[in-house]
Amino acid sequence: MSDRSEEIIVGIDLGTTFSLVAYCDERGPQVVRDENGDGRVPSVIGVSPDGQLSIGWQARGHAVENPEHTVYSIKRLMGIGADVLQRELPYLSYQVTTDGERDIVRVNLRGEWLTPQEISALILRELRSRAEKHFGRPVRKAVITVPAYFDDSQRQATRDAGQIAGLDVVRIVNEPTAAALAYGLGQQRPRAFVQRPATASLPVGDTSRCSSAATAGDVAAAAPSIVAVYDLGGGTFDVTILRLSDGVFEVLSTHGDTHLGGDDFDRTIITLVQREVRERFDVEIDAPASRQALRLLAEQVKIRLSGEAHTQIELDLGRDRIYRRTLTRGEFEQMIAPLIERTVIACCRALADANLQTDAIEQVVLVGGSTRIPLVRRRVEQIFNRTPYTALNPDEVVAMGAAVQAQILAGGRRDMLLLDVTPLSLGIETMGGAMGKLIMRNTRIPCQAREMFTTFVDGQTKVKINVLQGERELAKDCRSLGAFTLTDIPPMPAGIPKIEVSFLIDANGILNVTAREQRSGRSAGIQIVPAHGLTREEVARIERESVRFAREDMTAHRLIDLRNQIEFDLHKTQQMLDRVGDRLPHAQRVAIEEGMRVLRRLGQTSEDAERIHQALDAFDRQTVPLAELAITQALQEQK
Amino acid sequence: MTPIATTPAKCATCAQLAATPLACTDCHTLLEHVQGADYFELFGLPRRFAIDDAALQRHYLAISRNVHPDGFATAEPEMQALALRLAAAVNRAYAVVKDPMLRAEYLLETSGGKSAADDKRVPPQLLGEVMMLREEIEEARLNGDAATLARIRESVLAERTACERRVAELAGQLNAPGDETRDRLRLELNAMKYYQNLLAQL
Repeated sequence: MSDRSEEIIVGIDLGTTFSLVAYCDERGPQVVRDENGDGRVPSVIGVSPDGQLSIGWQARGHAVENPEHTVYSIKRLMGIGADVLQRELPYLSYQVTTDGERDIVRVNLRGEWLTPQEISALILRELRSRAEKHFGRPVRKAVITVPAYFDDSQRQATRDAGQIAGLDVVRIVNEPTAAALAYGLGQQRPRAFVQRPATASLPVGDTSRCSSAATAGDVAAAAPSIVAVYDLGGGTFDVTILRLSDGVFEVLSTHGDTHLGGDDFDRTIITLVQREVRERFDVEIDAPASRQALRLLAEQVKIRLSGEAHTQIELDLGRDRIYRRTLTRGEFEQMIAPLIERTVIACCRALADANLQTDAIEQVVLVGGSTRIPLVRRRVEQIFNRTPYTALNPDEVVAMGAAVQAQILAGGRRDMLLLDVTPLSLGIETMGGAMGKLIMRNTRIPCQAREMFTTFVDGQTKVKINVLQGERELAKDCRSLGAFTLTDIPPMPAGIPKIEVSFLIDANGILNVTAREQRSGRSAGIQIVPAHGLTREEVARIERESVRFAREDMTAHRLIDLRNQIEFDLHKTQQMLDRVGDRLPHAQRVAIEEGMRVLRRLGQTSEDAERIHQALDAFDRQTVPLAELAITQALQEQK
Repeated sequence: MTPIATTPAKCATCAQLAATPLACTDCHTLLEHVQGADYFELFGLPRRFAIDDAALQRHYLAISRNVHPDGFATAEPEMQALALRLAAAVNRAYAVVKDPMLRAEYLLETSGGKSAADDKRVPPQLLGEVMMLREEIEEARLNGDAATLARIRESVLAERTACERRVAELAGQLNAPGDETRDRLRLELNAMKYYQNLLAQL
């Protein structure tokens, strides 16, 4: 009973600090909000001592009293290995480890060791259920955004999280590009980013929530076609340069850092306070609860300093020891300046890769909560020699763009097209441990490279390939995407088999590898063990098992889903019966009507998800002839 | 390389004449036929080194609108896979025609010239020159001599520009009879790689 055209595709911004879900309707992109009008769901998961799972504001609210079992900033752990984890550990109040044999991160949540994919899935599930409540029917498809500089492992991990949350991730979109999409369509008259006014004529979004005073007039005058998006979020930084013409959003280059954002600014304050407390009171702030409290305090201090020139920090250390100090904006800016300079370097590299000088940039757009910091704005203005543009809420613009992309994918907008690039060079480890590049960074995607492989030993039936991403010369300095093993090679003398391996990066920026033995013409098998990720089988298994410790919660979710599905199916079936029911054999029609009654009753009375599921399946099969009739009818009407 | 249909053909699905290669603009069906892929023909450009950048851009966007996988997200898996392959092939063709050096290389190889793998020769003085520069770079690095590094970079950039000019000139004369132009172009393109590598180190 799936009706593709009516299937909702939502856009999700899965952020380090906050996550949002949005959709498009005739007014343009809309963020799904809670009863307080807030679209943000804190990307925080907590499990209380009695095993209660909480997500979002509630989890964030209990972070200090439940420090070891409150997980935040999980995005920074997506798709990484032990090497990157080491740098994060000092700032985490929850327990993290890596698998022995495979380099996979796991987080301890009340005795369950969960992968970041599973934790992110809990956030996604929350967003999904928020959207389902809004629509009153199931949501199964989503576009999810990632930092443009995310590598293959991080993208795969994000897609896997979606699958675990029961979502078909129809597209992974880069955050800065999504922001550009939202802007391109988000203006009333000016069409900031479209050269010919006629093309982006859809009426548009809610600009009442605009956070800045940039007026529509400013933008209209500029009518830019080359745009830089500077996206500094809670944990990641991207800069993307785009060319916009006639509704086509062409990414020219992108650069960034997947571990640079608001969290790192907080950490400068945390480090300062820890050091001074140690010096003054000889006390170490490292207990999980203190770390969690200090983290929240640092975040508040940072936010206050965006509006005020100085602020008070006060910390009660117990036994009449009170740490107090004033922190000025100037001091804070000095502390974070080196971090911001890293973003400046990335901007210069992006310009160089796009073969452009700064004066070619006609518009600069700020995205991400951290762009509220005055120093960030000043520096961006200096680099590009332009006043940055901030008309849309920097917290919401990415989710809105994801919704626009969802609408494009659903076939709703043929006038817009997004052409993105792969952020990192892709290659293979060659003899002697060098990185042999096959696809250069900032290559337009989808893209494909082919490479021939052969055997070194007589009768060899397997060849192992180490696939890498990165810009360094040596394989060991690049990130390994995993071991790809070509299998089923026909036994032949060494060097005779010719195996052509195709490396195809799809529109998600995700690598697909296929292999063909040329002499036999057979497609060779390929086994992939991701370096820092889950295998397809593992993802499928986790999805099936769902998340064990939150089973009841999940069952409740599933029941809601199933009941919504019943409503939807009954409604569709009734519509079809009204339209073409008279052409159905009488007995069949009666049987379907009986089936509808049974299904309705089951939905109202049963708590047995499995039984409802089976009934839905049976009903689905029963209504096939009716659906076929309805389709034939619809086709005839079209003619 | 995925075969690319270059001439607009009748769409099998709606029988309209496809306005762009590779896809029918009327019913959004992808066309997979004809082998042989000439990149210039794909973008409706004359097969020569000097190109009209704006025309290339226009044709690239028009084709992309019709073959990009985003337009097929709700289509059958085979159609999605075909869109993916075609879009990858179009992006490759665009990258080659857009970049002067790749364009020259492509023109050379598709007009009977040798590939870089078959003919690795470089202009006579180049190897010695490059070796000297490498040593100078190494030494300047050791001494932390930024000024010298900057000076070397400038001179390599100048060499590369000169080489680019020679490539453009030779690539514009590929119609000339005999192998001399092709051989000389091969040498210059090989030399270009050395300059690029040096610049990557700087």
